[in-house]
Amino acid sequence: MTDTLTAGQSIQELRAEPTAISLFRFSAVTWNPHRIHYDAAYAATEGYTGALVQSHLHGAFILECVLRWAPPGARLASFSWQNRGPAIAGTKLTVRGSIESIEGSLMTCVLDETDESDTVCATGRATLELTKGPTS
Amino acid sequence: MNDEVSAIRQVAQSIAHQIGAQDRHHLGTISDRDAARFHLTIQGAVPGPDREQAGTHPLMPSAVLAWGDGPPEDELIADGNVKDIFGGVELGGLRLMGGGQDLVFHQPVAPGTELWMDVQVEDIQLKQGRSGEFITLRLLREFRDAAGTTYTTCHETFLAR
Repeated sequence: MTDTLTAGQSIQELRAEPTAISLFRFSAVTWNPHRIHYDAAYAATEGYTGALVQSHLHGAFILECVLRWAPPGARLASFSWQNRGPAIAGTKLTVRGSIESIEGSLMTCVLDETDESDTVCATGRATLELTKGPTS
Repeated sequence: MNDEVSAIRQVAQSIAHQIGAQDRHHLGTISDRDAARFHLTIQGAVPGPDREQAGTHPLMPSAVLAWGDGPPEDELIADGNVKDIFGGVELGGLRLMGGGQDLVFHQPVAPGTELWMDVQVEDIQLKQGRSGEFITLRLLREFRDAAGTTYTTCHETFLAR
């Protein structure tokens, strides 16, 4: 697979549909008691129409897109993500990305996560170390 | 200057004195169960077959907010957060939002590995937004074992208002 990778190539998109249960479970497993992520009534006091998707969960969805698509044996070397806008429980999110560059055994992908109205919620960049350098 | 602005400035000034100073915190271990729960939570929000997991999810060490028991409920602030969310960085009750992370993965964290976290305030800025002043806080957190082996380096930005 690595022989066929080229800069500019799209990677397989990922759809995520975090529910109130997803947010509760993520808060629980990260021991995050911030009410805005599981208490819709509290979130409303801060101007949101539902419980807010955790910033780290946005990052996790972006990384999930890369990891599901990554060539076998690729090692995740680095990853960055930035929050751009809020999403609430029930929002259908889509992560899209492409290969930004391939330098030796290192391949960097750039990604963004958008909601149903195509508003960007988060962006990311991941660098993978490939086990076999691409030839193209 | 109203009280709210004053509180933000006080927090900014207090944290500014900590820039460059490093604190070490013992975290403990990620169990097989918690590693599986973290992975399962993400997979549960993604329609279709789950991705197989090997070991600890790379984002887990830096995503867990509290590793110990945490404070009793009556010591949480009104929004549910703890006062001292990062161990030694006191936010004085300000509302905190995650801004993003910049992570380097040196090697995977196997469940059961006993971890320590070195925390350092890299930068704090007081800024003016449309709805008033806010703080941008940048932390460096490095996750290591007892021998000093670094597993993950995490630069993270937070907004507080």
